[in-house]
Amino acid sequence: MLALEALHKRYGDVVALDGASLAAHRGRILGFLGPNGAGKTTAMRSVFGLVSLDDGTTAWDGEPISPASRLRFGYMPEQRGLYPKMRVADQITWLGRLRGMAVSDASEAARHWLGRLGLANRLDDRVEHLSHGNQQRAQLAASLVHDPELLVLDEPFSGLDPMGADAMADILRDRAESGAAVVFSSHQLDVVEDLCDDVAVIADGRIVLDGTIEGVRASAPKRRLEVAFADPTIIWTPPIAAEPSRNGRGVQAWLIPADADPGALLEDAGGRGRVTQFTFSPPALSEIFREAVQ
Amino acid sequence: MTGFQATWLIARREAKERARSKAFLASTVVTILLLGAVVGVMALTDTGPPQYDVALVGDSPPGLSGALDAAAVASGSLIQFSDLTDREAIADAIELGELDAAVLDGDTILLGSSPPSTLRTILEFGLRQSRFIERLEAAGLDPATVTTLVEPDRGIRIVTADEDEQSNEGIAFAAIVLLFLVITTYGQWVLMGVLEEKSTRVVELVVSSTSVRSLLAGKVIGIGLLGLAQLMLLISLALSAGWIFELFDLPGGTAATVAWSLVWFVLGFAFYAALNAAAGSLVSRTEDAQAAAMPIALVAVASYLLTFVVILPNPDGLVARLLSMLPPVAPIAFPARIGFSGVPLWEILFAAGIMLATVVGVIRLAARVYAGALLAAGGRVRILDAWRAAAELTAGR
Ligand SMILES: Nc1ncnc2c1ncn2[C@@H]1O[C@H](COP(=O)(O)OP(=O)(O)O)[C@@H](O)[C@H]1O
Ligand SMILES: [Mg+2]
Repeated sequence: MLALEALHKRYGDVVALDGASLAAHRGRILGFLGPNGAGKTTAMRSVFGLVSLDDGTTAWDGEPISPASRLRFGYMPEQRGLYPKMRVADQITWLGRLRGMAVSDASEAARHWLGRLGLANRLDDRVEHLSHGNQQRAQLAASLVHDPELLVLDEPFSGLDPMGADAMADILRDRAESGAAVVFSSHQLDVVEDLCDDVAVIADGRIVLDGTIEGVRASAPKRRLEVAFADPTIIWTPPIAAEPSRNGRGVQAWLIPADADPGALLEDAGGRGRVTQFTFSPPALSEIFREAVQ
Repeated sequence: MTGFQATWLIARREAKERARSKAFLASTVVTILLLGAVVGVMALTDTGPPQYDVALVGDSPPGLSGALDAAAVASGSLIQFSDLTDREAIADAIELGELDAAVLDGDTILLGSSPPSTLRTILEFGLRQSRFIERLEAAGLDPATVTTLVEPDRGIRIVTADEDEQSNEGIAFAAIVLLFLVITTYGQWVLMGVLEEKSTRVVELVVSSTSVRSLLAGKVIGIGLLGLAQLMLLISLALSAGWIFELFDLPGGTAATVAWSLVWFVLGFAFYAALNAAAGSLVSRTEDAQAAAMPIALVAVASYLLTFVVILPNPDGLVARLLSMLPPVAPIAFPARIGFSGVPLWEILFAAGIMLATVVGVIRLAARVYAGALLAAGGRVRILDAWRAAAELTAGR
């Protein structure tokens, strides 16, 4: 288990981390969500000793993270980068060896992952001659080659087309299924809702929400209310504190306090006209997210 | 994976990738071609062994011309016999320098105003030997026995002390220029290598799996080994070309000069390379890199000039001895001093000790600056900020 406890980091006047704590478990995918500048990258870099924390601890399986434990971690930095003149397979093999693999194992693993990512016929190309998308794939192979116990990916979905995003999601799921703890950050919500088992939402350097997806949705302080009338021209507003939400065609939607009484609301709406659709449910992750980081 | 293993992996990658790069191949080929051109010019302008024109007049011992030839060959020169017979004409020709020497009546040697000592030796030796043969034959030995007795069974080489010192000076000059060039060139590679790692951001990936110190040490060692290999290739090509085309005689001290040059190359390279790595880590653009490395280049050039202007004219003076102890100067000055005049071993070892301690200090300092600056975001970093960042970073590890 990866445990980040009470991380603090300032850059001059900017507070990047303000007591953030985080846990990622083996066999599960943690989505680390937050708007730009919230402190996601700083927290992830602290795992690899790339940030000198003002305070807080980082631990893996209960032990403080050491250079030796980092050899069992895979990392995809936000700022991607490989040696541009080095051949793809050589480079991934070399990175495997740097994390302690034997030459033959590293070479085999490099070929395996590059093949799986669709780079089987580019093994001897220099990295600089790969397209942007292929460089991203090579970068992913670099984080996977040594079969890490912990995989930390900073914005892995940014810049991917839908097919690339699907392939990425497949690989993350596959890694979690084979026992690794997977953490990835994102500032876009739509991609991740179906993918992660757990979420942690960070804003201004503090974790504002975390837990399993179901738990987070169930314990949200708001509920989503959707109402549709047979006569689409009817305008109705709930008789309680409600904020309008994104609505579909002919459907009106609000976020309302979770303790509101759906029966009373349905009765009130029914007084205006015939109700054809009425939903009272936990909000979508993206709504919780928006709510949390405001 | 220990720090040493990681350092070695990094060093190997550095040397291998660079050796495969077009820039490195091109620079090696160009240098070899230049070397070839120099050897070619030397070979074309080489007039061969020295040739002496000698006239024999009067009653000479019968074996004289043969003995002179043999003596000349033994000392690596040739004798051309003149057909002048008139004594006055001979004296004039010697005065005018058209003739180098004459042997009159088998007992007088006539030489110009500043005769080459080799010629003198050849003539004296030849004359003595032919007289000796004459006496042996007069004593009743048959000519065939005499021939086998006096025939030189192996060559005799005449090397004067003066000549030896001169060639060593040539080698020392070559060593200074070559050392300065390679130390600064490979230092530039380190500078650019650090910058490339920073600008392509690959450093973050590498440092997530190993320490900054291993990365720095590996880079310096890898480039240093490649540089050393290139240097040895060039030196051995130059020496073997010189040997094949008989362009120069290698004086006795060459091996020592070359060996010490390599030792000082290693120390000097480590010193300047570590400084360059620190400079490279402080900036993120090529244009800034040259500015950041400027002070280092100036120190290198100043050391080079000091060696030529102050140390070489009086290599054993107190000033020269003190100056050459200074770490930036030592790697250039010591090979030169060793080539020019004997330097006591204790002095070499003492200076190497100072140098080694300094190199260790500089590498630690550079690793700290490198650590702090590499991980700071973009732009030009002030050295003090880098230092502070590094202090925190190393404390965190
Ligand atoms: N090296 C740095 N120097 C100065 N400020 C930084 C540095 N790294 C991050 N910050 C600041 O810290 C805050 C958090 O940044 P970051 O962790 O990159 O956020 P995120 O990844 O969530 O977008 C931002 O305001 C950012 O500008
Ligand atoms: Mg970020």
